[in-house]
Amino acid sequence: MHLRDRSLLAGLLLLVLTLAACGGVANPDGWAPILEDEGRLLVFPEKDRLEARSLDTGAVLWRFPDKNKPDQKKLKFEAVYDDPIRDGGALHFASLDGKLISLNAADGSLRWVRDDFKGGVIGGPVLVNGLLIFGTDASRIYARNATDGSPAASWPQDGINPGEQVWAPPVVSGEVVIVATMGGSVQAYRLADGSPAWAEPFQAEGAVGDLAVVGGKVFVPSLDKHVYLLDPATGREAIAAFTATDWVWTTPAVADGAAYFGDFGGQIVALDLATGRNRWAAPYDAASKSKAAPVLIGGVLILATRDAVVHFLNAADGTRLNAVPLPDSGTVRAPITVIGGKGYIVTTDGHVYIADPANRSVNLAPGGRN
Amino acid sequence: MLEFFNIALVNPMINLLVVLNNVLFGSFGLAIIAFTIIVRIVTWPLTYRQLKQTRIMQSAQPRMAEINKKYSDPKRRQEEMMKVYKEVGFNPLGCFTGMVVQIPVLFALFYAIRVTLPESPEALDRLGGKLFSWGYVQSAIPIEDHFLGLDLKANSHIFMVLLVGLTTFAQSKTTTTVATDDRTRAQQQMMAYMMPLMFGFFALSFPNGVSVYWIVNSLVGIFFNILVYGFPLLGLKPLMDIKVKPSTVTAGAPPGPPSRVEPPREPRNAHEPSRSKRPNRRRRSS
Repeated sequence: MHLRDRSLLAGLLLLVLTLAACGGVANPDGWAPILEDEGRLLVFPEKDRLEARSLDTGAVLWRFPDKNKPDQKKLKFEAVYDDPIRDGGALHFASLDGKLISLNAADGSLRWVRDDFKGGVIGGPVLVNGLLIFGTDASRIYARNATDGSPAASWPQDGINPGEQVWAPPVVSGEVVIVATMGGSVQAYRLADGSPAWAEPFQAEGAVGDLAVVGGKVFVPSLDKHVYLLDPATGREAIAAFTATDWVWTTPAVADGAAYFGDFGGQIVALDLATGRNRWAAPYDAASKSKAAPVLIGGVLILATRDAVVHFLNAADGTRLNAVPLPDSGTVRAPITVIGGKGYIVTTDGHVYIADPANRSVNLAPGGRN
Repeated sequence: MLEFFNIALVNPMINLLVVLNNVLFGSFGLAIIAFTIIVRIVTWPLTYRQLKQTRIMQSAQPRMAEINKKYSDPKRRQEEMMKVYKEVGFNPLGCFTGMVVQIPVLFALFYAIRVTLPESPEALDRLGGKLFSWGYVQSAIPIEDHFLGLDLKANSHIFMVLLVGLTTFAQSKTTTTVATDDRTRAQQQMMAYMMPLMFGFFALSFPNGVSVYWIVNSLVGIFFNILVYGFPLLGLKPLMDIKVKPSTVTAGAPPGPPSRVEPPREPRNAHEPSRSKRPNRRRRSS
């Protein structure tokens, strides 16, 4: 091979490798929804920052971590996929880089931080009986005391191994916590001691990245294009699974015995929790992936799709009331939050929008742009 | 353009990787190895063309050296070289066209491996739009990301980085190089060491899965090189007989026996571009 050719090859490969190494494939940024707490909006505008903003003005009340505070100077976290949990005056959240963090909600000061567990956290934690329970991508389920993050004495100290990675936030039903794995297994453990609560786990054919308890059933959306509805007491299917057009990776909005959700094929349905069938005459075609959980406000279903379009649907029949694109706002993956009768939407580039079901409009929230 | 690249190359590759993963016992490491070998076999005609061109160039090497020695005028030298190229059937773009085709394939491979092993929920979300709707493919997600104790999506282990450098170096040593002068030869020597260092450096930021691809790619490249060039250091002869036109024409002369050499100084005419000043000065002084 000629030197000229080799140099050319080396140059091109250099470009290829640089592109392959530095760009193109998604880096973890997180997609935590907004949380409202006593007149404050809690937003993760970037993957490594939590902000408390005034609900009325959007003014930033505090930031975490705050580099001006000695105990937060060297503190870092990266990518949060669930909203913080309110616990009295405290807020708890966990991050993909393997940190469990507790703050004072009033001023964002650090209560405690723990990283003495294996793996990163994508879903959760869930707070129950003073315990923070969460799964990790290192195939572990942990129970920690909410007071200081220490391992719960009644649970296995090194966590429970469910056999596969856990991305879905755990959900609680009665005295059991239910977890789902990326191998498609749904398992239940007793809150008291972490022992298995079902005779055997439920097994879906695809990964389960989200989980919810709705209408007395466990809502199991799967990447195998099905939604399973399980009996939380036994883990067996309560009714026949619903077949979607593509992956389902979202929790639903629930009202009047129906679960409203979309799939990656853009199909939106109103699943009757009693029959397992779509209540609408036909699914609504949103024409883009639906990852963000929708909300239902006053009979209007508000959902946001991957192409950053907010759809307003009549929840009764699935007809479109309006569709509003969010220009130059990245995409929407985080669940929508209901605050004061409106839907709050956070986009992947940190914009915060308010969807008003009354007039089917979408506007930038005060201080909603970085 | 990017959309076309995804639809035409990246998406089919991702799905092929997933199918191979299913066929090969759910091992994505084996899928990468099989995938690399398949791609190298499919692109063998291009590789063969490159190797053949190099072999042809190698055969014409003595004459190139002679031309370099004989003609100081770059234009005339180029003309003479082109004559030899034409005679022996060497296409200077032969290597280049092969590479132009291979570069997008390489890029797509890197991208496909990184997308198929999602490092984050965002990456899995992105993968969702790239899989064909066959149940056989869909049911494989998420893919087991460990192979021989390596997390294929984690940054390359230092052992893998060393292997990337080593196999790149070995491939470079089994490649027959064509140097027309000492300077070029020195540059090629430098490249033989620079390439492994460069790829090793890049491997530091690659996932282990991409490093597996690169190592297997280099090993297959070594095999192809030995197939065509042999490996004299180990006494291995080429296993493939590439027909190369005999290089018989002496520079500046019609075809004839290789021993025929023109007189060192050719007659000049008034319209011919002048040679460099140094020989002219020498001529004047003599």
